[in-house]
Amino acid sequence: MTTPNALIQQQGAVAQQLIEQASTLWVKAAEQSDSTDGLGIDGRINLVHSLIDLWAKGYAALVKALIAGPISGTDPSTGQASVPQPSEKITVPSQQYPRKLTAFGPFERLGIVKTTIPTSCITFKPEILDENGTTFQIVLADYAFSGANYSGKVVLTRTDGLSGATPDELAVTVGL
Amino acid sequence: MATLRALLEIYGSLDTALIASDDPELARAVDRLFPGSSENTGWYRELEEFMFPVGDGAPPGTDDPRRARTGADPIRALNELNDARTRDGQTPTIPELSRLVYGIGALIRVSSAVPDAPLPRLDDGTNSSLLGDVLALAGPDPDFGTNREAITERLPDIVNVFAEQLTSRGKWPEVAQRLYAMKVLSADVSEVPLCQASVVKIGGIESVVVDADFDSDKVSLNQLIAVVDPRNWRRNYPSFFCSMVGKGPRPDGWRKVLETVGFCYIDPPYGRRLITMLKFHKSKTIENGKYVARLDYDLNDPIPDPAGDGQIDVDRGFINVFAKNADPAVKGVVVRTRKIAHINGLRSYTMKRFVCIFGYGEATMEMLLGSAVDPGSKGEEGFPWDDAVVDPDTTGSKGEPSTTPEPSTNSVISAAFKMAADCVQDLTVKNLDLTDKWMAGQLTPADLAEYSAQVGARIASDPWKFLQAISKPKGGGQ
Repeated sequence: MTTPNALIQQQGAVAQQLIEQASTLWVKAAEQSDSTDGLGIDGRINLVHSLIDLWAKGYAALVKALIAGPISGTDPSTGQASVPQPSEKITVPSQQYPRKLTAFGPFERLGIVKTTIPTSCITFKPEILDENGTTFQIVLADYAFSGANYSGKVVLTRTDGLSGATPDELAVTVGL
Repeated sequence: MATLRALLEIYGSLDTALIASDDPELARAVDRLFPGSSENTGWYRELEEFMFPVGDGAPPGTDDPRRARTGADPIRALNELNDARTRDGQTPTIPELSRLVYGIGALIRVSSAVPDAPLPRLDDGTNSSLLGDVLALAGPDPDFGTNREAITERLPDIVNVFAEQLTSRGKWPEVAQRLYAMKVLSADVSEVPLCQASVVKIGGIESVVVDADFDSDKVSLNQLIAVVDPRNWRRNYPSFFCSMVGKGPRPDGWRKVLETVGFCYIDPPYGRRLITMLKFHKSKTIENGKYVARLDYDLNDPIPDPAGDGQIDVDRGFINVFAKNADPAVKGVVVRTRKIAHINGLRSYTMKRFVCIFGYGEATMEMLLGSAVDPGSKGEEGFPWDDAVVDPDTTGSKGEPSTTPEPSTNSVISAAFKMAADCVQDLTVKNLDLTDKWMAGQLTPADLAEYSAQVGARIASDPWKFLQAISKPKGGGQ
């Protein structure tokens, strides 16, 4: 079994995390702006600084992954894995269009719901289900969470540009 | 029984050979079967000193098991295994036999590929009879004599399969199937997967991950989960799990168990024990119409637990059992296990060898191929699964969008959500394009430059766009 490339997944996860952090900043600033006190000039300056900092970090993470080059999780000649295996395969009904997979909300550890994996650390193999594709696996971008079962929701969003289809939402429990 | 000790010596002889020789051919041959060996020599001595902390406990030349530390002698190991059968009627478990046959095959392969390697020839005139005796332990027939006759007839062919076909670790499944087809290896042994170990950081501590995936049509989910409780692990695999003592439930629904592992046949202080307080949690669900049972375990918290000795400071994992059929009493299961552990005082590579040689991460396989098939063979009542709660079916595609509250259309919040959505979509597309090129090896400096410009534009423009958005007239806030 070939495991996905860990570095590019980490990069993707970092980018996703930064986007989420940026979204959080936007929303908090927006809430403040909507309040009776308003955002104020200091709040606006802080917001701009924080956003620029985030984008710079995200770009640095990507360049690091790109320079490192593609690597495989398993040595094909020895069959020896260099990283933990992905989750068990998850099966969904077939559709005649490609679907992007995203985690909806954090995944909670079975038996310890306060322990959660942020969506930024959850990636998918493949990231997009091809037409008629029915199986995917979940891969951790941060292995510090590995060694336990987690429950969460996965959203499958149509990516062929046609509108009208509502995303499918799937509850899953997986060993990671 | 000294099966684990024998396995350690068989595998350790290759480490000893690498230390004794600087032949690059030997290093290549061993690395292909045990990746990383030549860069991590000395692991055998490290494990010896760790597992037998006070050295020899008996005079040289005696068979006293307290004579713990030894050089890695594969011939002595084979004799020990053969003696255990003839003297005590004891044979290794099926996963142990798999590790044994792989180790023997590796020795034959390496000594064939590198004839000058400082390794004994298991297949020469002096040792071939002993080799046949040990290989017959893993034969397909319940009767040892029948297996021994088959081995006698085909020993040159078996040696040739190891020497010519076991050229790397990745070839093992083919070799195992070949031996099975030759009727000299049992199906159960041939189907045991090789240990998959990798290293990750847990809380800043380099820890070994052992993954094992396998399936069986010989046991049902109900049979397997009847023995999978950690309190049964000693019953299932007594060579390594010296004791598993239940310590009652926790307030959060988990249960506690005090684990003691080591070379159980060598008493302390000559043989080391590792004592760890674990907690575990069992759950059973119905997913897509079929039962799934999950056992999670971890260090009991708060950490460190005073009942443990602190030698193992990462120890967690899961055993997941998936029924192939709607009826969990019908035979057919898929099992997926993961164990993550860190043992203080051992290098990461040595920990990998520790968990793989001793089967630390594969207790379920011992259960699947032993206790679950024949629970009566262990002679004592085990702990059932019964304290688990059956949860309702939580799976299924709802076809519903996420229930994000409808954002207000007349506040800054709506601008923020829209910008976040635009940003996610934009950057995701850019990243995917770049990733595709990168994975295909087609990424050029020009692509990077273009991406830099795009990211740079976002860096420069997004904060200002947001300020512009929140400056537009709106109701409610300022």
